[in-house]
Amino acid sequence: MKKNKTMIVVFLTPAVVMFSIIFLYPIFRTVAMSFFKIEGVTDAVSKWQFSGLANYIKLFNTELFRISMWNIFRIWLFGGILVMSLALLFAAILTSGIRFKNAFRAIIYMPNVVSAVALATMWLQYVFSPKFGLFKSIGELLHWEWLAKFQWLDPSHLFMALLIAYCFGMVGYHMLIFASGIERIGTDYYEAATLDGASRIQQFRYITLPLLKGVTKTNITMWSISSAGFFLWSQLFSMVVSNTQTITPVVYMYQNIFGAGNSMTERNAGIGAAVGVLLSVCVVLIFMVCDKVFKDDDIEF
Amino acid sequence: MAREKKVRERVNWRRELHLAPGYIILSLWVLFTFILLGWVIAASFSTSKEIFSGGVFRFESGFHLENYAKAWNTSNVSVFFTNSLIYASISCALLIVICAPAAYVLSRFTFVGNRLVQSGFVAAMGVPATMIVLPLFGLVAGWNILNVTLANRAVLIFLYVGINVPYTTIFLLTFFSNLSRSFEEAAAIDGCPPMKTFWKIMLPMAQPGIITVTIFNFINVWNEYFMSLIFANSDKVKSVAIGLYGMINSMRYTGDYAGMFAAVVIVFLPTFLLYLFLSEKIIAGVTGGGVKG
Amino acid sequence: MKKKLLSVLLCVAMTATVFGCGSSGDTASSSDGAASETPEAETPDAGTEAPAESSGDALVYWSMWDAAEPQAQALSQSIEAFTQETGIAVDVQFKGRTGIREGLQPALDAGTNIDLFDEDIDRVNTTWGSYLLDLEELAKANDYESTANAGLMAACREVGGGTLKSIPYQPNVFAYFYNMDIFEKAGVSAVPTTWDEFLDTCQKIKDAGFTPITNDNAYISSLFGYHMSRLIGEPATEEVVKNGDWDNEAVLKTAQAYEELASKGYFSATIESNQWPAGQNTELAMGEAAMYLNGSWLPNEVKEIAGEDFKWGCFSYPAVEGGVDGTEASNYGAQVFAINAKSTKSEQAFQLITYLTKGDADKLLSDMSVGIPADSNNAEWPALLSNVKPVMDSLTTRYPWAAGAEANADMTPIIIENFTKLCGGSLDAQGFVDALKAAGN
Repeated sequence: MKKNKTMIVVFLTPAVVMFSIIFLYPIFRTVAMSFFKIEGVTDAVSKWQFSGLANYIKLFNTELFRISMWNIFRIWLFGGILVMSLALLFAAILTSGIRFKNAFRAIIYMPNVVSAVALATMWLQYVFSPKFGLFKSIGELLHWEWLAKFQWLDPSHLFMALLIAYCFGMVGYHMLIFASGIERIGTDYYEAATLDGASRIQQFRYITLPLLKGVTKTNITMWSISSAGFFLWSQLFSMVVSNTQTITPVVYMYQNIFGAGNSMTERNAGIGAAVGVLLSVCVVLIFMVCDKVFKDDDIEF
Repeated sequence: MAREKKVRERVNWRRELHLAPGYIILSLWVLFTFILLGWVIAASFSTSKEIFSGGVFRFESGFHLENYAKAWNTSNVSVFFTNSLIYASISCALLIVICAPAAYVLSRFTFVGNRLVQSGFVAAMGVPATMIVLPLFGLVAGWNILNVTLANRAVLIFLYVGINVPYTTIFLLTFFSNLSRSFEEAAAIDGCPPMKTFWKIMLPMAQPGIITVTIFNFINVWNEYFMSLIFANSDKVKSVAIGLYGMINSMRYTGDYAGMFAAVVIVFLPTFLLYLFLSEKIIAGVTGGGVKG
Repeated sequence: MKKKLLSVLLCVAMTATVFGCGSSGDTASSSDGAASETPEAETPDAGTEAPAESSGDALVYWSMWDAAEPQAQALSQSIEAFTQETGIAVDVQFKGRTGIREGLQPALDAGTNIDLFDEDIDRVNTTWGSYLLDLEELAKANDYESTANAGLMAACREVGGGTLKSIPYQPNVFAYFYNMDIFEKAGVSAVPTTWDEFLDTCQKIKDAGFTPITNDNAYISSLFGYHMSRLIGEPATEEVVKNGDWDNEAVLKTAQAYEELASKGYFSATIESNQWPAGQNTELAMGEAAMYLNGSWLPNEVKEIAGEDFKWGCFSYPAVEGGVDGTEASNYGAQVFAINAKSTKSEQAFQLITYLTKGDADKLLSDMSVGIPADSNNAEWPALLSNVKPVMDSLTTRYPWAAGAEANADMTPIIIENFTKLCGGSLDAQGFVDALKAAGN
């Protein structure tokens, strides 16, 4: 036990120290800022005006912020389901002993390596284009009228377009996490199961899935974090000014800190800080819930 | 070993047939990816006019290699590359040395503050980068060290490491918690001290996770934009991401979309080659280690 | 049980640290603020003139352009020439729009050594107004204004709170840009100055087989803002937008005008799906659509697609019957140079600004970036913009961006969404007003 104590201290200290140096001061400053009215994000404390909960109250009373929260929730939930199922499916196929595994894996992950600016431009100006878009051509090729005529980018469908484009890129990332989780499961399980006459699907259901709990937790945590920070794609899908279909809390925060679009609008870094605090709380809550749902204790091998 | 496997697979057609649905699904997805990325590459060889009239794949006006020449010449691409390569490799190595032990003890031992540290790390990732980076800049800029190139580089690497500590640690947690305790027990019986057990036995066993997270870290640092933008004080220390965004924005403001895609491809290629190289390593790591995939 | 206890303890510990450190965070940052100010105040005092020259430390200029942009290339060339002429070294950092917008204020707050910087006229004067050096005396001493654009200098004083804090260059103007060939083919001989003429023009263009109007999500709110401002003036429009006074009859009138345009089929069929730059690139520049309300940077942005023989016309947003403002009002502005109030080299900085905004340097910038020259002696504008000059010269009233339509950041996306639907015909005028009202405020 004593030995463990020194080990805990020695092993944990560097990470905790790094964390404290980089994050603690900014986080506490952010929490404090959320109770003040502050024009510039780096303004000296003497310029802060205490406003109590006013920032939070204003946030909850602003339609646009509520829309942004709704958007992020939709991205998290629907996008999450879509990405996780595809990622798990691909990971399962990849690790089922197929050929060209490396090539498949590399290609599926590839969109992650390409700059989001290029990908977003490609989706917006090519795939979804109502004039010469890829989806339009596919629709025409297959004589699917609805697909050929579908207006992906109008105000009623832009969110769906954004979700598809974003998820397409994210599948590879989560697939890698799933795949490395599956790869770590010992082959003896499968060999034993095969001897017992279990089919591949059964093996997946009764061996792979239960043993993937931990990795699934990681995946959900990472997905939640990247959803909370959803920013770049939103900006790329609504250049210059934000859009009701694509605005997310971080974009809203950004507008309050640096001003919106080309017009000079009121700035309040305190509101930005309040958004940051709310997002952090959401992420921690999700993390806690995940912890409860995916208890690691029952995994033993 | 690999060859043996191939021979076996070639003979076993029934097995391949069994996997057919898997092949079809993956092939469709890969085909789709190829069309999309192929479009980006084709666009980088065409003209803005072709891009906006849907004629990218037709190459009616031939291949426009000059897009690449222009993108390469307008900014200091080679300097940016070297910088990013240095930042990313050093940061990734440091991150594993710092985070793997921390993740190990957090996953293995119950102690006061364990949950607090974990929640703190997760909360930190939820705070938008702007709120972290700008106050930090206020602190660091006050020390007046950013004008010295070497110090500026050191600060950047320190920040890249620090900012990815929570992510890497949380990521590696599950990889350690899923490893069987029987390895440590066996090592303890053999008289191996716990710390040595970690470095010699547990760390290699978590290799798939470590390599995966290193890939992600590498790409995170390579593509990190906001912090580099604020902290990189001169052209000498700028990273690829800033250079790329500079190029992309320039091209976009002047309507040179073909040039923009060329810039993207220039920056994408080395990362991709690196990724290919690293993913080979994963396989090597998995088959070489005690666990088999 | 044990876990519950632990989590309660953790909560207590958490809150304790939050409160405890909240206050320590305050003190830390206040002392930090003080710390960053003291050395800033000291360094200039300690080494006012002597080291500046002898150590040859350069003038630091943070630029809003990206290194690969033509503006940056033109400025680099001119700065090189400036250094050769005067011996003053200049350290240019091309930060780009985002770099300046997000990085300048933190850098200034932290006391970074920056002598001059540039950005949009409104942002420099309102957002960073407190960091600027008053330039009235420097301008007078150097007789700067004899060849400057009087309207823009006046605009700088107006946004600077009555005094000159910035020097304009790269002027721009917001108006309808159109394809002269299409106008010719449609038999439109004169540009429309009233709404009725505008409708007539649209009809002729439609009859000739072209799309009269297109736009993109990035600029579409301007259509709303300009029409409202023509009706009731810009200040009133801004009030409506800021206070959510959607019952104002001008809102409905504007909506009805656009409902009419939509119902007559004057908008591009894909107007609702136009995500910038789709409209300007695939419709206007390709010669499908005739008119686009945008800034004078447009011809430069689409020149690769439109080709050299594209003939650009320009007219100010038409006057509306019974309205307050006419074609003399529009958004015009410029990028501006400003000098950091803490700069120890303000004289040299102003010298550089003068050099860059006048004569050959100004001409070079205008030529390379297809922009409007700032020096009134440079009377010859780039060919693509030759028809913009009369519009620019006719303007007397200055609107802010989007004529006030984007004055309330919390409403902008909602206005854009519903106005886009209105233009696409999927919402009628009353529906538009109702949607804005429902969004509350």
